[in-house]
Parts: sequence; C-alpha cells; structure tokens
Amino acid sequence: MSNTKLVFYAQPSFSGWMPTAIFQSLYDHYKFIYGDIIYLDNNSISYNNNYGHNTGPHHLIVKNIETQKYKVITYWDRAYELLDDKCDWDNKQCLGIYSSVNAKSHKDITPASYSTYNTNIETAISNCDKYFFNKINKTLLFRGYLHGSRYLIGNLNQYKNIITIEDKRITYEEYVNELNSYLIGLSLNGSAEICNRDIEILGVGSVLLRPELKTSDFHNPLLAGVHYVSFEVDNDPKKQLEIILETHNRLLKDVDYMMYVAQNGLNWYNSNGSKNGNVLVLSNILNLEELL
Amino acid sequence: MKPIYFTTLSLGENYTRDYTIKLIDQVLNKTNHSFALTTDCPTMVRDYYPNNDRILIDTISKKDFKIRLPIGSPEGPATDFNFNIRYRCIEQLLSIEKDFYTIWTDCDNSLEWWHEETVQSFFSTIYDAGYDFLAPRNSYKFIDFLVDFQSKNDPRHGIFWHKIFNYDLDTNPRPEWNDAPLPAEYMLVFLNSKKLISFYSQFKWFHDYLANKPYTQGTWAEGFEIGVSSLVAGYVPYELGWNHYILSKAIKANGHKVGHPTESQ
Repeated sequence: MSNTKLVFYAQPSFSGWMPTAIFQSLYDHYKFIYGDIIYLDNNSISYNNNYGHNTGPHHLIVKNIETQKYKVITYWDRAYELLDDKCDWDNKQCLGIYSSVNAKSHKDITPASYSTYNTNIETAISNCDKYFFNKINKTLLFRGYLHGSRYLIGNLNQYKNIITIEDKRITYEEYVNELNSYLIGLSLNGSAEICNRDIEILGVGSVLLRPELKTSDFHNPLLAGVHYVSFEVDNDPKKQLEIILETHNRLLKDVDYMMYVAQNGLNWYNSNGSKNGNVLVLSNILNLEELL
Repeated sequence: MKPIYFTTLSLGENYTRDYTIKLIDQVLNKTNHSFALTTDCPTMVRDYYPNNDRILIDTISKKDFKIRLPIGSPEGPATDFNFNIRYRCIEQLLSIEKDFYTIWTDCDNSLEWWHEETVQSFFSTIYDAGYDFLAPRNSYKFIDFLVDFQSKNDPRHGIFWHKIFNYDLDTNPRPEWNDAPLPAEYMLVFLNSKKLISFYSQFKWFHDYLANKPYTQGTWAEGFEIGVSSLVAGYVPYELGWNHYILSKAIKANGHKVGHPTESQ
C-alpha cells in the first residue's frame, strides 16, 4: 500500500453484470500505468435503498487516497443523482462524472458510453451470425418489462398481427437469437432513455428503431439517421403506435438505407458498446493524471 | 506479443545527438523492441550503439533531397523544411516480412513510460474493434476542413489552406480524399504492416509532387499528406484522445526538446 495513490472502488465482477465487468477490465487496463493501483469492493451490499448513493453498484470510483479527489464512472439510470447531496457524494472533491445517461442534459456529466446488460449477452452476440439477409422477421417485436407507455401500446389488440409486445422471460441466448432474427429492432423508452436493449440491437447488426435520444450523449456520438432510426414520441398510445408502424413500413421499402444504418450501428457497437469498446472510450477520456 | 518498430527521421548532428540518441536510448532500455531510424548521421548512432541489432538504420544524404522548399516564389527568400521527407521513415520497414506494429514519432519526443502487456493489450483491443491507424485528431476529416475553408473568404483560412494550392486542389479537386483524417502528426501508430506499402507510395507521391514544383505555399502540417495516404492505403483511423496515456505518459511531445533553432544547413 505504501506506493498506492489511486484506488478503484467498485463491486467485484463475479456476477457477470456488464458494468462491473467493464470496471474490472478498466482496472486491468490501468493497473500498471500509474503505480500500484488497487481494486477494492465498495461495499455495495450495504447501499441504502438508493442506487445513486456512493456505495451503489453502478459506479466505479477512482480516488486518490491522499487528496481524496476522485472521478466516477456510472451506468446508473439517473446519473444526475450523483450531483445530489442526499447521495453522500463529496462533490467538492469530484473531478469528473462519466456517463452516457443524462450527459446531454447535465453539463457536469462527461459523455462516455453504454453497454449490454451482462457478459452472457455479449458472448451470445459474439457467437451469432449477423448476416443482414439472414434476418427473416420483418415484423416488430418488443420484449421487456411492460410499464407506462410500453404497457399501453401493448394493449392495442388490433395491431397484434404486425407488432408483438410482451414481457415473457426467456434465456439470454434465446433473447439474443430472437433480436438477431429481426431486421428491425424496436426499443421503447423505459425508466431511462438509453437502454441495454439499444446496445444489444446494435450489436446483432439489426436496425435500431427508437425514439430520438434527447438526454443521452456519447463520447462518439450515436446519431439518428446514421446509427439508428428515430421516431417522434406521442403520448397517445394509438398515435404512438401508428407513428412507429409508419416509420417501420417506410424503412422496409429502403433496403440500402437499412443496411447502411445497421452496419454503422454494428461498427459503433464494436468500438463503443461492447465491453472492450467501453474500456477504449473510457481510457480515451478519463485522464487519471488529473488525480495525481 | 507482436514486435513493434519505433521509427523517426533524424537529420543533422544537432538533432541526432540531442534528441534522437536519447529517444533511441529510452526505447532500448524501456522496451524489448527495435528502432528503425532514417538519418544522415549513421556513424554517430553506430558510435553510441555499436553492433546493436535492435537498431535499423536507413542512411540518406541531404544531397539526395530538397531539404528546404521555397515559399511563395521560386527565388525565395522564404523556405520551409520539407516535412514530406518523412515518407522515407517507412521505406526500410517495407522489407520486414513478419507482421508488426509501427510507432512513428518526431525525433524530439521522449518515451517516458512503457508496460509491454498494457500497450500490447491496448493495441490488440483497438485492432479487434476494427481500427489500425491511431493518432490524435484522427476524427477531423479533410471534408470538415474544406467546408470550413470554403465558407470563408480567406485563402489562408485554417491550418491546411496551403495544401489546396500545393497540390492544385483549387483547380483539380480530389473528392476521393474528403474522408481522409487529418491527424496531429507527431505520434502515429500503425497496427497493420501489410498496408504500409500503399501508405508509403502515396506519401512519396506527395513528396515528389511538391519537390518538383517551382515553389510551395509552405509544407507544415503533414498530417494532411499522412491522412490522405492512410485513406488510400485503406487504414481505418482511430482517434487517440489527447489525454490518453499513450500520448500523455508514453510518447511525450517535445520531451527532449532543448530549443535548437530549426536546422538550416
């Protein structure tokens, strides 16, 4: 410990959950660069019902233990909570918050990247055949927790022959194979704007169809019309569904454009959304020398 | 672990003694890799490192090149160092048959830190993600410059304006170069040695084109020639952030600079 200045505080990566796998990989990346860096469990088991709290499992804190200055990388859905005094962050010592979530709407957050849900999903993505013309399903599917607008849209029975919205749980491998079989992957906003599902659709090389990203931002931009196709948001579920279906129909008529977007999205995933992509992005922007 | 060749151009005794020798020393002591040097002072280097097979030397003579090119008119008096001579750094690497990485740096930079496993892991991760040409400012494209340049009524706007006139792009536009990156040229990493031959050929083309003109508009910012050459060779650019440890901790810009006036002999 005598030469140690920097400490990585995060949950151990035993679970295969992607944020902690990224934190561990980032540590492996940095451990020989700035002296004896150590990796400590941030005691996430004792979090106080608030994932935004500084012991929450979504965060990696890199701290200089002499000066107490720190930077934090977070995949928490409400990254802006880290700016809230209730969450026990010593904001005066904070030299940077890195996240894609809320990065467009909060100037104190440096845009970073986002990931798949866990390493099993990334492995399944790596193993699947992403050839565009092998994607046989041309209809739309949304599989996920149904609440809010997702629930309301899913209840519109008259459309069930062209769009499936359901919450039945399947294995990770089945889930990835299912995503991969669809030319166009639908993603609906949930509790946060950006979702693991977005990254997973990009990773299987299908066209990501989702509401335009308004509050999320990335170090390497994820652009509507380039990496994904966006549609307008309407609070009326019937109108919302009609907007989605109209966009979907228009897309199906333009195969070249679908291939262009799908390939751009896959490239973006490889260098930003995969585990290694996240590590590359973070290593490009973290500047840990500022902590020394 | 892939072999890595550091390479640089070192002309003149002052630069070679005060900068290049120190850089070579750091590479030999901090890494297990080789240094491919292009220089007109081979004896000086051999005197420092007799019989060292980790140093490859491509000997050139100033008499074989136009070391300085006139600016503004054939008679001068203003001249600029012919930065395009840097293409020669690649020449001796072309005969190496095995696959290797190349780190191409200015001779007055220093190598302050090295950890083999970390650097190799970083390079292979980047390569696996689909990229094989790393440099700062690689996200800035020639088309970005052109759009900005053409929006201003100033023929000297931006840092690459002189390239328009040096290569007659005002009368003979080359839209096929629009996607070329415009890297900051003091530190470049090539992760695919098979593409170097095409890169070299295009960069030499730029050298010959400019050296055969009666005068230039200046030769600085060879990131243009490097970027176009990388595009022609099929390299896929990756932008290294200015704070990335490869730039801020390993290869340090001007790390050995002591303030020599630019060579004029």
